[in-house]
Amino acid sequence: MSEPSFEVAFAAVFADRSAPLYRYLSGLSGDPALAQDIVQECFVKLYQRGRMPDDPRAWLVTVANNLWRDDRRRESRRARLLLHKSGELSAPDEPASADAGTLAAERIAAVRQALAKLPERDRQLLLLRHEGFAYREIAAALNVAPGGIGTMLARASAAFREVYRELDGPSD
Amino acid sequence: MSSMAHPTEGAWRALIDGELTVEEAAELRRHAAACATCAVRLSETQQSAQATDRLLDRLGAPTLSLDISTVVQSARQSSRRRAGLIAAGISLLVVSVAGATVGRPVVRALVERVRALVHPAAPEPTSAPFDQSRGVAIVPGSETRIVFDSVQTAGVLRLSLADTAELVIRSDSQVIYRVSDSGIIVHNGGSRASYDLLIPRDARFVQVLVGNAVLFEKFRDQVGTRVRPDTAGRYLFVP
Repeated sequence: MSEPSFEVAFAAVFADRSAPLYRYLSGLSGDPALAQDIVQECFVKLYQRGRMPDDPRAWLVTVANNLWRDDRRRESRRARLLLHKSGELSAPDEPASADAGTLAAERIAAVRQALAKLPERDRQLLLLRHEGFAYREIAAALNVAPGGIGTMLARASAAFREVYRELDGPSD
Repeated sequence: MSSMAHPTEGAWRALIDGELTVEEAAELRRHAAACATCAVRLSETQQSAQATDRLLDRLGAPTLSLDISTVVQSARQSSRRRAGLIAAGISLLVVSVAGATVGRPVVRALVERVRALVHPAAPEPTSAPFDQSRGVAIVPGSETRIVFDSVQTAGVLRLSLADTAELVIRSDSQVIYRVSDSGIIVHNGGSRASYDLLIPRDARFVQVLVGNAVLFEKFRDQVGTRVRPDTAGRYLFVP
């Protein structure tokens, strides 16, 4: 189905991009299993393509975001059905419980809560940048102009720190 | 103060992130060196970016346990399933046209074929009794083999090129058949059946075997067989 040169390029992209993509999706979803499923599906789609896109890094993260959005829609439908059935639904921003009750766990939970309170696009921006994605890749993934990424990142950072301070006291 | 207008917070952030060209970065740094307001702004933007990174670092670096071979295997399996679905769709289209002329049994045969294509891993359809008055569709345009699994000792086989595809069995005993991805296997153990086979003219490759011997072969426009067609264009095989 594919040429040897594609196989080589595919292996190189997988080695280079699978882990950052996974960390980004884990941070975004808070669900490592879902993140792994999406990463796998991204690379399955890339392999089935049989040739490399012009910008594989941007292509992968764009596909990942689309898959994440699709999953969210499905979850949203499920949640609505559940709400309709039971008449109640947990608040989406309900504080996550610190699993071990340790200070470190509480701090992680506070970071997750702060992220959860941001608009999804801000969350994506911060996590993508944190994983080293370039502005053009972030712009492609979020379907925005690359020229606006700096401003969006600056504002998202400020908002994130503000929310975190409210939840956890002053950040370092 | 530098002659340029005060850069936006986005520009400072882009400088920190290394997203500017060397020239753009140098110009911003010159401006920050000459403009106290912007120097503060650059510092604040930098602190904000670093603080954000420190907070996000707390989420840790979960390890991906996904092997490339798993991905490749999954991609290949998925491609095969997709190809099966496409083939099934084409088969439906082709044979539904044929079904209009040869009747319900064509659809029945097609359903079995589609089932085999859509669920390639599922067990093969079990052999079904053949209604001797009806036909089985042969999907044209692909490689198709019609295999009679025993040598004939009675009955005749008439074979014609036609615009439709059909296998009709006339028999005074039960004949069973099985539709698979590669064609049709006819279990002709009773040996008293006669068969009418319509091979589509536009079929790329069709082979008819009786008891492992190739009786007829068509590849594109070429036909290979030991018998000559009669005036009606039929190839008649008598045991």
